Amino acid sequence: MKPTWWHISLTIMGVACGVLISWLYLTQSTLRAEESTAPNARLIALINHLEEQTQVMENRLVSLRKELEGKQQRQTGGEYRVTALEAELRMLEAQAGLREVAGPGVVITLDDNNSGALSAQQANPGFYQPDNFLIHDKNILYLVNELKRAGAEAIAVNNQRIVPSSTIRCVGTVILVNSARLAPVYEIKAVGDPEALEKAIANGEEFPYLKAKEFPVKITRVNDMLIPAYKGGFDTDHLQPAA
Amino acid sequence: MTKGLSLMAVSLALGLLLTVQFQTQQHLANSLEAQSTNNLVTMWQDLNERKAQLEKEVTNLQANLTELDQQSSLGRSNFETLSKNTARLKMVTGDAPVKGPGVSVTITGESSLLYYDIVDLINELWVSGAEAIAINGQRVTLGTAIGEQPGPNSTTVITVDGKPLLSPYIIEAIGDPAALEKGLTMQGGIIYNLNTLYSIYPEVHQRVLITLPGAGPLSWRYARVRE
Repeated sequence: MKPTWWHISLTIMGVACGVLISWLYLTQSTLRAEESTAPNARLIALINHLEEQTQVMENRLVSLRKELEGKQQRQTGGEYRVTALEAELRMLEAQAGLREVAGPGVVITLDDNNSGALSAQQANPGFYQPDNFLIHDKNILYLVNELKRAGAEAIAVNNQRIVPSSTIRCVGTVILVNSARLAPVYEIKAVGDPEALEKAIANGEEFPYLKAKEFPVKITRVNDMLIPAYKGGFDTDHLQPAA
Repeated sequence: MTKGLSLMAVSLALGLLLTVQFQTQQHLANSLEAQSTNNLVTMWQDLNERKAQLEKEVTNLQANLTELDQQSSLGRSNFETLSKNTARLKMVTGDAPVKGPGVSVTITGESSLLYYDIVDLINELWVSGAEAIAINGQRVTLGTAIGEQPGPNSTTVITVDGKPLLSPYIIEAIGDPAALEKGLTMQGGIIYNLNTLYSIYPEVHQRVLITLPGAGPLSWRYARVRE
């Protein structure tokens, strides 16, 4: 009997089904194994609790900053040196990341290479390296540096504002920006000259590299967008003004 | 024809299932459940530090508010509070010069250091609690970018904001000296990696007093401050 398109597609689907079912089984069994590790469960509960607490405090900080701003304005009283200082303070707050800013720029989106991971796993399960198909903290760190090189003025990663002391790193497979956990899809917004930013990133190092490795990456020019304010604090315990 | 239709329906269902499974898998990789105990402990410590930082900032803002209320009840203007806040933010943004204890990281000789290593070192210093940083006397601000450009004899030269960086590279950071040193030199940390992977041996020294220059005010052309 000659194989027809019908036989071929049926075979392909049968194989795909088999792979999918075994994979589902594997995922489920890892899930079950993880649930049973008691010390981690306690740590996870602690982390979740701390994340809630810090979020509450962040919101408290935001409302305190608003209250302070309102009081400062009411007490200006038209005094010239005060009005001038207030304008300076507003700009400093924006540049420290404490105020929302708007402007033109670019949005870069990055996602893990899921389809690449799937075909690699199917083609050669023994050599499958999940790490090769994930976006890493360094990809984001270096892209942010490239954006700064191209003159970006305000940047946010998944709505976490980049401030002078921002950190971008990973713990395990989780990317942290300003100590907040991020999940894919990663979205980097940068305000600046849209053409200059797009050109620099598209012809830069990180973006073409990820593209060549078939990660779903995209850069879009935007006429106007908002970059949210930083909700955290600044450490200044060891800092003193120097002349 | 019915064969074709049913095949299409089954393919569709299969595709849908695959997508769902992929999302589960992706979610799993990013979930706390998928992390090792060590990594969870790191995250927990990090969150504790963040909480302490937020608590300090709340206290600071509350003191600010009390001060404003007092000034207002005395009929005085808020000039003093404003200048205090302005001075603090100028230290944070890198506008004003600052001094304090900290560490210096020195990299000498014909090392194979790449500009990425400087980006990593700066990031690692902020992670370890740095409050202000300068590279060869150039203050790191919001916009500071590290790069490279062609040098003599087909070499490349590391740049900071487009200016060539000359050897020795000296990165200075203000903060808790012991915490900064530990953050850089711990087992498996950045200095360890530079030593073992690239034979680069940065020297880290605790310093009692470091003075870092100010970068002056930044000017923005595209970003507008929202009211």
